[in-house]
Amino acid sequence: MSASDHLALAASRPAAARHAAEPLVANPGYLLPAFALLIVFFLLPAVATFAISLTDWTLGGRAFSFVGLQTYRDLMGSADFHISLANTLKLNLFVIPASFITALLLALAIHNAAKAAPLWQTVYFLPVTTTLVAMAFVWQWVLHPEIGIVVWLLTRIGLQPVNWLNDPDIVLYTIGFISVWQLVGYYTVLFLAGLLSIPRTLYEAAEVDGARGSLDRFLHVTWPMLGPTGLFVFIITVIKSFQIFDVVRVLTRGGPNKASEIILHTMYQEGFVFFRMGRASAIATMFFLVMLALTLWQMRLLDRRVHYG
Amino acid sequence: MAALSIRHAHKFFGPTAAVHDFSLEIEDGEFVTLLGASGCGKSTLLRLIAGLETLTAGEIVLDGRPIHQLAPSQRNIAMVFQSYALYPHKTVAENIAFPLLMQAPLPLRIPGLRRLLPGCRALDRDIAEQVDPVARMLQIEHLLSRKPAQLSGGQRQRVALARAMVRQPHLFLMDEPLSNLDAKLRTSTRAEIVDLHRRLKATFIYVTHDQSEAMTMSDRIVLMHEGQIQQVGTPLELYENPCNLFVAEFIGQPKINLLPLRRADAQHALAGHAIGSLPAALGDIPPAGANLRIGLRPEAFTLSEPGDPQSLTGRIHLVEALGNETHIRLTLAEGEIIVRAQPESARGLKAGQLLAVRPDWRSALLFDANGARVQAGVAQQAAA
Repeated sequence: MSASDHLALAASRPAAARHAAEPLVANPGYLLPAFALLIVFFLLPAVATFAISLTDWTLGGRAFSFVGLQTYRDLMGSADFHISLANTLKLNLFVIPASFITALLLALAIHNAAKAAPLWQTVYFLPVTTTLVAMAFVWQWVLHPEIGIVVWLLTRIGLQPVNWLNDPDIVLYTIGFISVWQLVGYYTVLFLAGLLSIPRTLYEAAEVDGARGSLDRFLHVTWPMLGPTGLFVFIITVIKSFQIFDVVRVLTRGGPNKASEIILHTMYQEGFVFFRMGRASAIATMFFLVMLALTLWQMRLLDRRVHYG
Repeated sequence: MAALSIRHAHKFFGPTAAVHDFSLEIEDGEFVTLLGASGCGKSTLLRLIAGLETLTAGEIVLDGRPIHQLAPSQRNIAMVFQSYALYPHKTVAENIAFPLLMQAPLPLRIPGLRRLLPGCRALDRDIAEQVDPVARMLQIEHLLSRKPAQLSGGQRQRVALARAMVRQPHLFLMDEPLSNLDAKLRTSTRAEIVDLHRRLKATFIYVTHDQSEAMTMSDRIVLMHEGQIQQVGTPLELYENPCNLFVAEFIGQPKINLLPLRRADAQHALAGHAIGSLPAALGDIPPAGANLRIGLRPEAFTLSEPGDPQSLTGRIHLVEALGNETHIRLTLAEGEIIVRAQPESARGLKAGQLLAVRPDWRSALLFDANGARVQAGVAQQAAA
């Protein structure tokens, strides 16, 4: 064997085999550009946000003083903040399961739709491609209490008109519905990819083994095989759901009477309407810590129960 | 009891017929192999029996009961898939137990929830009592707590077999179960499956494209081509007495030699060599002009001396010594033949030499222009 043959052989060796002999990264310096960007655009702002949250700085102000954790204490005692917190929780408890389950059911239906599958996939994915701010205006018309099509339909079948965006008991669910509508197509596509990767022979084996209906097939093949996809979709759903902001900003601005006031909107109001950057930063810091904890907890809890082929 | 009869089965995929007018009676306890090249419809037929495909026309009757309209789960037929189709998220024990679990009432079939139900422990104990002997029989009891990903190919194959065996079905379907194993393991597993068949006394229908598997394992072979049966018979019947050219060419390794036979007056020429009058062993053959071919297996020749009037003389093209036998490729006036010889008698033969071989006419097979077998006596009727 010649020297060039040896070289060719070494080059064709799979990466995993080389790990043992060589360091993980050829030159750690290669990591610097990405790391620098991460520091400048993520870590530094995060630290700065925390620092600002310890002051009473107002946007545009020249002078500020250090107030320590006073802002956090103020927020904890504020009734408005409590309302905002409760609304956020309520909204997410609706949006997360609703979008997860709807996406799963849609994916199962589309997966079984055979020839029509690409059509349905496109239909349900369309909202993902739209700009939510623009769509929010469309929803405003659709849900309009006097000239909206939904109210018109309701009255046609003899039901009471509902004021979707101005009824304090309903507005949060209307926001939730629009958010689910916008994002469910994305989760559906993720689930569909997961469904496509399940070998057909597993269903056939299950049928021959006596699995009698779609419930058996779902419980013993689809759901366990969908584990990794499900975990991924769930984490994405939680993150996206907590990020809901623009629908509220455009449609209700937290109203009526703070019935749709959620954390991110409160943060925006504090920072960019009232210019109380200290308060906004304190909210942002808390939000960040809660999200971090939630994600870590999810990964730990679910990773153990998920099967990776 | 598991006697299966397939009557005039048709399966169309769009305009193409995967199975065309297939009829076969399989007796209880038989080991029948569906043999054919890929795309011949053998796997489709197996899936029709399992219920994974629906018949376009015809019927399938198991022990006197038509089953072709039943769901796969209602047929009580076990199947071993080519890919084994083990459930990757279940342990080996859970995989084997799955067909038994599926016989339980619905609430006990729901993962997680079932543990809260009263009958669960008794059911699990009952299932374990049935799984253990099967696992012991296939020598996989030490693997029961592993996941399929942690098993070798041979071990997975055994788990698939165990899962098929556990509910004691009367009919086993096997779709090329050995094709994912390496050559050595394949030979030993072959013997084990035959052994299993003998012990279980069940009916086996086995699909393969490998003729040596079919020849060594089956009671009967069904040779298929383009969705139709070419011939049904014991392995030796197919080898010694093929009904047409396709069967003769498909079975046998190396392939059968086919030599054109011509007749002018009383003189015959085989592959361009004058052989005088035909030996009586061939029987009566159709009149001159028919485009006949004579099939001679590689072992149907004996080496003889040059100048032997009853022999064919050609030049050696290649000598392949396999140890236990030697294959000699011999170029004749028309075409090439392969001769299987004993190593000692072929010793010293080299490419380029002249060699005379004498055909054994008693084992010669005669085929007409359409590839149909011309049997002695039958030809006379055809000519009349």
